[in-house]
Amino acid sequence: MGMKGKSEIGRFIAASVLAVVCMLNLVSKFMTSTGQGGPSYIGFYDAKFAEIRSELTRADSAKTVGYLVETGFENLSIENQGYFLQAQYGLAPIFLHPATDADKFVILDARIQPAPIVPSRFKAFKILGDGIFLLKAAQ
Amino acid sequence: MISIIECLIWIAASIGIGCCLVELCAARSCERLGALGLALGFGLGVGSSACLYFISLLIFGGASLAFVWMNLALLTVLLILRVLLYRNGGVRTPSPPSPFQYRDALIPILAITAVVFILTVFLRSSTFIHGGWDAWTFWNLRARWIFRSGADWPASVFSPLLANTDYPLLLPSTTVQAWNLLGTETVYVPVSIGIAFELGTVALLLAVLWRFSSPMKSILGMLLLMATPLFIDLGAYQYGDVPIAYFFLSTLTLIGLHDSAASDRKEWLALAGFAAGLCCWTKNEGMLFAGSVIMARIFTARLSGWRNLAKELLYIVVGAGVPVAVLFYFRHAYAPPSVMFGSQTVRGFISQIFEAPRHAMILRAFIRSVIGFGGFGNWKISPLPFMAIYAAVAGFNKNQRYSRFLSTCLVSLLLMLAGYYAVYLTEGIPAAKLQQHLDTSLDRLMFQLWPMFILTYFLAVRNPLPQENVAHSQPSPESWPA
Repeated sequence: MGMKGKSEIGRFIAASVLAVVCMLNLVSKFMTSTGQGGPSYIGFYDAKFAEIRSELTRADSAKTVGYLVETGFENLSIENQGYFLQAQYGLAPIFLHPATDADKFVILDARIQPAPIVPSRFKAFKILGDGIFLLKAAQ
Repeated sequence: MISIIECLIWIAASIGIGCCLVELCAARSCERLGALGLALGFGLGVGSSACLYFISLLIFGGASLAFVWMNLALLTVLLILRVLLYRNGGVRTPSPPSPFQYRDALIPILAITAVVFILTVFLRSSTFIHGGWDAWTFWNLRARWIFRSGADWPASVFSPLLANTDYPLLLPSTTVQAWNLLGTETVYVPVSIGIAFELGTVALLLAVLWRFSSPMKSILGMLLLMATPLFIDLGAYQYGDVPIAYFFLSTLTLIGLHDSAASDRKEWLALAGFAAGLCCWTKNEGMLFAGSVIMARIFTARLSGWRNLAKELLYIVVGAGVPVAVLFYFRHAYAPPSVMFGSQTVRGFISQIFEAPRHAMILRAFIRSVIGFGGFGNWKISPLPFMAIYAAVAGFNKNQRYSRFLSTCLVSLLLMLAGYYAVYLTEGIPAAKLQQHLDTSLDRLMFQLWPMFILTYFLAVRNPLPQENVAHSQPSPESWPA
């Protein structure tokens, strides 16, 4: 077998090895994809926030809806930003204000750490379960 | 039921528009494209429809279904044009012969691999029904906002209370179109868009490599893309990175069709310009890509002459006109300044260029992304060393039939890498937060270039099967048997 023949075999082997590596990667991805749960909590909490949205009348939605945290969005941890954005995703097109000074409605999310303090002016509660509460300002 | 039929009509009209655009160019340059035409037509159609929807949104408001009629009208015009201009169907150059001698052995392997890939894509997508972080914080959130706001959409969608409202609207507007037609806000629409772009990218890569290299290389290329875990994940996450990778690849494919055409017609370049414009309407990185492609054509102009270059650039710019005009209006009338550069000052820009620690941090991240454990693709076993071994063993094609096409791909790729580096270096993000930005975005940016890298690689290297090299180095399309 000449040099050319050897080079052709080498080329074919190199291509075959590359193909096998690809197959291994694909099969490995397939194996890890079966039975692996995704972030189902997004859908779960989305339904909770949809409930809040249905609680607010058309006139209410023009009022300030707050998300109870001790600081502005920029200063929240990544995790807490995620919770806030989930609420914003669920409540669209109602704007959510990441603050404690919202004057009409406030959402209390028990997942927020450290847990926010509920100002005394918020009296009425609607418990939506799984850590989500809708607070209303006292009349 | 009626809404589902309306939705199917809209899908058919959108893809029909893309296929008609490709067909008009193919008939003009007397070529038959087959599967490649369909793979290109899918994305161009989705993009055209997204541009039309934005125009409809401006004129008729959020809840109107006028966009369907606009799609149907455009499709009708294109069909009439097709019939009037090429009544005899054009004298078509036959497709290059494909000496695919191992068809019987490889087709079953290919079919099994494709089935495993599709199953994995569906499994993964079903576990991320709302998509990943970027999907529900930007893309799908924006779609919800437009859909739920009705006539008030301009006031609410671009509110400073929302994040990244400067991002272009191709993906959200495609989602909203389907929701408007279905009359309900189902999560299965963005899921389907994610899956469609994944399958479209695979089909396009297979078809373009089949046309410009060889069946064996196209199968290897397709395998490489399908076996990239990050590709499967990004599609399931419904991120914009897979659609933009598709549009990068389609722009280069259309340039390849121009460079390989027997005639000197430039219509393919106009369509390439249109695809580049759609890149800009998909994600901000698209603007960098459009600039890179234009620069790549300039750098490789000596292969075709300067006078010819001026003509080429004119066609590309004219083709990009509609999506770029839509983007320009969106930016001018609605979008806030860019999150990354809006707060940057000239002094900050210059001082960051000379910050050695910033360079070191970015370089480290680039190296880790390419050769670190798992690489940017999150592979179990990175294929990159094996690609290097194959290139070393097989060698590179010295008699390139499509040398300018290959040069354009290579230069675009290098300019994109340089561009991404420059963006990280000069963006208005302080050094303290840069590492986090690199950690959350660089792998996705590298992935965007991955399909075009696979194309460039397989255009450059020799075939695994020597018999296929004979066909690959044939001198010109004119010599193919009728």
